[in-house]
Amino acid sequence: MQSDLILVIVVATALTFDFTNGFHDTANVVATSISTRAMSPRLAVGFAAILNFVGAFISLKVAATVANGIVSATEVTTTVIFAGLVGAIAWNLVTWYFGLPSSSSHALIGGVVGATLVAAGTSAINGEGLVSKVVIPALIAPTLAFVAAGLAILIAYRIVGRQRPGPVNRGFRTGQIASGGLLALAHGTNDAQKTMGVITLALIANGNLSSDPAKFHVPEWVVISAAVAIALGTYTGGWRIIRTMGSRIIKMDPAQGFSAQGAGAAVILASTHFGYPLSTTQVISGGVMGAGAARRLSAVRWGVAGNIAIAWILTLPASAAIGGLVYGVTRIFGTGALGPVVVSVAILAAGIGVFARRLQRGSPITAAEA
Amino acid sequence: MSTIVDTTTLLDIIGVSLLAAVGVTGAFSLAILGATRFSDLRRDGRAVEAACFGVLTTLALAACAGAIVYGIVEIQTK
Repeated sequence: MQSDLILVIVVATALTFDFTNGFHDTANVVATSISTRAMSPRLAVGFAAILNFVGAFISLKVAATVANGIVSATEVTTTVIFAGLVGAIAWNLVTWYFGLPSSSSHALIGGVVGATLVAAGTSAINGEGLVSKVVIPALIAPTLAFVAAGLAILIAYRIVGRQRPGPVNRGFRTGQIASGGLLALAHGTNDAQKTMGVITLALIANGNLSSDPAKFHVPEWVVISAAVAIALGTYTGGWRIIRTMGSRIIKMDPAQGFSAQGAGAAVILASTHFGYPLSTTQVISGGVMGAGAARRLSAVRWGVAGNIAIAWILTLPASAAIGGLVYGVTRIFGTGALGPVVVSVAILAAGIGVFARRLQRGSPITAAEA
Repeated sequence: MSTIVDTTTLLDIIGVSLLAAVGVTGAFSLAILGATRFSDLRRDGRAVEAACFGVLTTLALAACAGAIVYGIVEIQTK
């Protein structure tokens, strides 16, 4: 009974994380379309929310990696997963507060790894999986998006460079409806699966599903609820981060926006196909910077890009530390459901406090301002 | 290190991503070039050349759509 109650709390926390993931991350997906005026903010966010939902149904390979490839499903408990989720949510709130587009995905993986380390030691961590499926792709993916977007924009300028800018810009703005949609689809595919993976891991840890990787299965209700949560988060929007991504890194023309989104979508979809849980934030940032740098290195505001890079570097260790700490705090209340309940109430109060303080410091950026 | 890093998969991702990003952007740029030239040439009364650019636009857009659909079907089926 106690373990089932913890499972319910874990599922609710995972879906809350998924919602904050949509709120926090998907803004990055629509920022380029808004920045180049390819779409109005509200239309872009609504469009991205729908395609996030659809994208969640495309593949389950990333969910399999998160459930089986990073920590040992037989050694973790639902309390460990809960602590990892809280670590990720706390880190997301901190980076949201400061307007930094850090990676929700790495926060999630960092949180779960940190809590697992404290609870079960290094033997429960699949180091090989962590390095090959998280750390190496984390280094390669943004660089790849940077290069792909840079090459793409050079080719685009070569082809249409001598044409009148009016029709060319109109053409690429129209194209951005497709490239932005594809990026939202890719985001839904990769990011919603991380929540599905965590819920599936909790179901395995609780004994509801088999721990045999050959019998890996994600229940339908998990897929649907993760898709709904990320789409709702996206629709709610994260206007602060939209501004950072869309105009503070570089000023873009529609061709650059198209190239950045196309490169981002290509990298995320290709990685999803092989089950790599990528940071969509990192990939789209790489694409945006590549499209800007290919035209003129000084077009990129490297100071802002540097702040984003610092947030990336800090994400895995910081969320792991919070995840480990939360597990320690939870265990003070024993192995039952009391610890997760107390921590849930505390994190909820902290979240409300952050929102209230944010509102006191200045009104959040709205659709009209973005 | 080589056993930890799946080089073949990473090279696949790099190749596919570069090909898709550059290919689709290139094809879409050709579609815009074709549409712009089609409009200019038709206005000048050069119907045959305009038709050629119209065909270029159609083929380029078909290539973009085909690449996107192929990519999504590939992800769903394998």
